Amino acid sequence: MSSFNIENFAKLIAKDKRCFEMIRYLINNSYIRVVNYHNTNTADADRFEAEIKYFSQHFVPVTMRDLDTFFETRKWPYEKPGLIPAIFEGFRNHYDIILPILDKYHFTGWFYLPSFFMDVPIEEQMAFSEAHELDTTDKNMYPDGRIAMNWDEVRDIASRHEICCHSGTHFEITKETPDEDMYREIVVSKRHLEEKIGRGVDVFCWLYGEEYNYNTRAHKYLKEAGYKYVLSNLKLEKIK
Amino acid sequence: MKTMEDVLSMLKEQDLESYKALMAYCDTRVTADEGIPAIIGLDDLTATWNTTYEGAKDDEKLHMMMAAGAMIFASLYEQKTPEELGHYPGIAPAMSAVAEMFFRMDENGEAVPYRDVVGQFIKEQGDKK
Repeated sequence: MSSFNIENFAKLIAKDKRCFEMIRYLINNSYIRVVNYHNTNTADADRFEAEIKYFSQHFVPVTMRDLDTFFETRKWPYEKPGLIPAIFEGFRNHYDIILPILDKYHFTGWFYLPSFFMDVPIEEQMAFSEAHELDTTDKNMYPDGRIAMNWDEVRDIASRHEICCHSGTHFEITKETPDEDMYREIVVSKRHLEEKIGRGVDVFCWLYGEEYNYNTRAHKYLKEAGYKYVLSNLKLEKIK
Repeated sequence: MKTMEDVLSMLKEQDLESYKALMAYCDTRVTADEGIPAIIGLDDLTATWNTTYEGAKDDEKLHMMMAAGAMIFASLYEQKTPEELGHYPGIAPAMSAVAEMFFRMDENGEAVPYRDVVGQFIKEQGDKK
């Protein structure tokens, strides 16, 4: 039987402070469950329905207002824990497959959209997705070639779910990214999304899940855009 | 499990083989097509003083088990090579493994793993056939 070595663990938290932070969040009740989705193909619809039904029985859905309340009162407002189905990339199959399931079980989804993807002409969408790591796993699902949601679909989702910005072109912002690219992918992308859906967008999500402090050069753009939260694959950080 | 003492006792008693088996299961998941659970922290960078929080009542006992689990999974993922971890630090897959193993607590105070959700679905599909 192998067992836990606390000395090795102490070395680990000394090396990477994120380990210590994550354990602190768990001990301090400041965490939330997410279930991350990318493609929601027809073939998997029954399984998604089983999952969302299960979530609705054991968890509560989370709205932006719930999150605001949690930070204001420092108390989770429900007996059941919250769970966020996080749906990434703005694929058309999100609208057709998982959205009706979320609606059926009255469970709020958080949709993370690269906001320029919806503007790409239909005949160019497959090439765009391949060039920008928007990986579609069922390329034959839509014979007409439209794989991104259109703006009417996004507006419909926005009327009862949360819409978040996942850059403009599914762009990896690194420490070396030029300022004009940062501005376009952080600020312009948010404004475009807001203009199209007619409401504010509070959350920005990096590619590859980097956290707020990963890129201090990006702070001025996040601030200028007016984001309230930044999502990484380890945390959701309130910055405003 | 309510205190750090409980967490340390639990850590001493754990057989890591079950954690390694769960990590092997996590490697079989298809991120592009499946729902992948994770636990993420909620952090208020604007807060200047009290940052202690009260969680959901149903999680009162589970969150310390999750913390102990996170310590174990983080240690185990740290042993993987950078190539095996890809883009992410070891703590990222560790937090997904925590969600897999401690997805919720049942009426008997036992942790229910996330794959039970998937497992139940597969069973129901089999029963239909």
